[in-house]
Amino acid sequence: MNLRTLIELARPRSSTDRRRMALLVSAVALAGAFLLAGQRVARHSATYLDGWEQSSYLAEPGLRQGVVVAAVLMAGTACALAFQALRLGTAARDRRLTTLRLAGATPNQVRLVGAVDAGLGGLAGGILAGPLYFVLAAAVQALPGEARVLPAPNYLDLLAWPVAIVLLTVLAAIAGRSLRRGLVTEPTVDPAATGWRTKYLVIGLVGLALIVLSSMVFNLVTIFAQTAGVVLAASGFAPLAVARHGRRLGRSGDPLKMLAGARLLHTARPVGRMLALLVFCGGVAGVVMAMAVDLQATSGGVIQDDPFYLTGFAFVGLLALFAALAAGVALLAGTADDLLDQRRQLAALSVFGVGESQLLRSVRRRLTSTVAPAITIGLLIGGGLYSSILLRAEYSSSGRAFVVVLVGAVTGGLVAWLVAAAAAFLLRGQVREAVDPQNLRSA
Amino acid sequence: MTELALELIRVEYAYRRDVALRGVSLQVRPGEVVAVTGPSGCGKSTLLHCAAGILRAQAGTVHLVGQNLAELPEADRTRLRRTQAGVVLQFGQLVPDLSLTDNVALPLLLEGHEREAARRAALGWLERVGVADDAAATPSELSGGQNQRAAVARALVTGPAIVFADEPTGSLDTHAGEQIMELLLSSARVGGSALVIVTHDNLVAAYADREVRLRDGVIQHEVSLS
Repeated sequence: MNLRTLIELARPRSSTDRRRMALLVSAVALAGAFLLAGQRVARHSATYLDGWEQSSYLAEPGLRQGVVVAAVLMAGTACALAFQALRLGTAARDRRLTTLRLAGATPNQVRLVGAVDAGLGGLAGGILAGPLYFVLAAAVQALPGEARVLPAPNYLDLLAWPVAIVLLTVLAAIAGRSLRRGLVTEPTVDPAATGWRTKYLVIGLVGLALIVLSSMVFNLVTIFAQTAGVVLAASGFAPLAVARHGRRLGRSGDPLKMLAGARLLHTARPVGRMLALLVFCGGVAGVVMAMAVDLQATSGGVIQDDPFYLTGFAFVGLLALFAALAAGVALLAGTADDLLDQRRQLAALSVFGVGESQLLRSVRRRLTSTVAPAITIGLLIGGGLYSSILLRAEYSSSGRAFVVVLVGAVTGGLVAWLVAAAAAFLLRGQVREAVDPQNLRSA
Repeated sequence: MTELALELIRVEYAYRRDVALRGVSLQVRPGEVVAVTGPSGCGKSTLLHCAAGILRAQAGTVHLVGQNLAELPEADRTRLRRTQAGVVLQFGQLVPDLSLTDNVALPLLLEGHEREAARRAALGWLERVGVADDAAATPSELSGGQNQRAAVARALVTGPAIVFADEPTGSLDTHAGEQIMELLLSSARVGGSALVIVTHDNLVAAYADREVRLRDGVIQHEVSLS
């Protein structure tokens, strides 16, 4: 099979496929822009002594490395979003690729179609990454001095851009080729249909143990251990919590809750992974919140060097918000994909009176009942852990930090609920399409 | 005079420029079994969807158990369909995430029945259609025939006055198809439900009391088979 045929076969055909490709390209473009920003900061060498008006985060070599790490983390988050986009629309793609197999394509050729499909997205995203980076850099230059955490672009960026294009294209192609789901080459039984709960329980318990053990000693290493513990605990417990919540809703006498619960139960792992990311983002925001309270208390109400700290908090907050948005978009896209995949069954339900508004309510329940608790729990964990450190260090601000964390967690949960409800409303078009009686004619 | 289970008077329906039904009139008496046959694209499924109130007829009148569907608001139309009509589709179209019991109980739950009562009724119907042993299984764990049996149970659980079946054996082999047809007929007869079957299979049509043959959106002829 030559490249032209591969491109022709990989080209997105349905509107869902095109939406998936648009999400992939956008996510890759963001990842590329952050990578270009990271390399620009890494190449920056000016210090305070050079007399520039620039952010302390760039002027001090130690902090500069932190900015590079943050840019790489942002790129990593965008890559995670791109990976989610690659996994989307798999029902339609599965059918198309299965047809290819029936038409005589070898498993390797089918995987190649997947690689080209993803590679094309990577290529387009990489090309867009350049202009996006230059716009980002120009926007940062317009900020006050301390907030200018990205130097002005220079000619070397134009050389880094093609490298980023190649890198992103290759990475996307590798990811596309390796995705087993969506590339049905052999009939397989879902490998983790049973026994996954034990695995996730062990991961969660290991995370919990790490948090408890590292809380006993306070130093830089234990902070990292605690962070790792939160990540592991969230990753392990979130899918279990989703499954439990799904079962509880499924036992309800309300048919709409029952439908929402059954879907949650069957998507516990992918939904749980995204919720784990939300918990982590909430945790980061919680830490920032507690730190801000502590800082204000210890500086007597006036934060010394406030532009410096505010930039740092804003930086971390933006990172957490970006990652949370990525997780939210992935959840939303997964829900949209579900609606498309189950349109015949959902249209059949409309015969019994589960119409557009009822289904939309069921979808809203699925999103709000998972996203809001995840953010609240994250804020409580992050803020709680930092406040407990303050308490053990006998800082007077610990009490106030606890109160602020509690209020912040409730407020964050409410905001997350509203955002999730609004996001569910965005799916009304998909819901309308799903319950359309025309879907019953597809037999 | 006995009230008709279904009456269509000069019903018309078009998908944009593609006219599917051209003034179709049809009467179905309580307990009667009517097969609607014809070639692909002749309007069979559209007729069934209009009759069941899934699609709103663009012209003409549809009376379902004496109620004029055009005069009913959407909510009442849905409620009438849920309580007075059962629908069986070609692939069962059960909700894949729910167990067979929950799938069959769903119309009752939507009607506001208590969960336990709805599940008891559903289990009773699953017993009758012969898949009670798989009541806790989800549709993906079962064969097409087993799913179709559960779909029959879902259509009949509310004790409807009329059951609409769109190619109910279309995805099954001959043996499983015969079993489903016999099940559908016997179950409908137990409850005194009328049955409207859309099919292009002459063997399935042979189960009916009357055959209505459609061609290009009009009734070509009607034959009494009883």
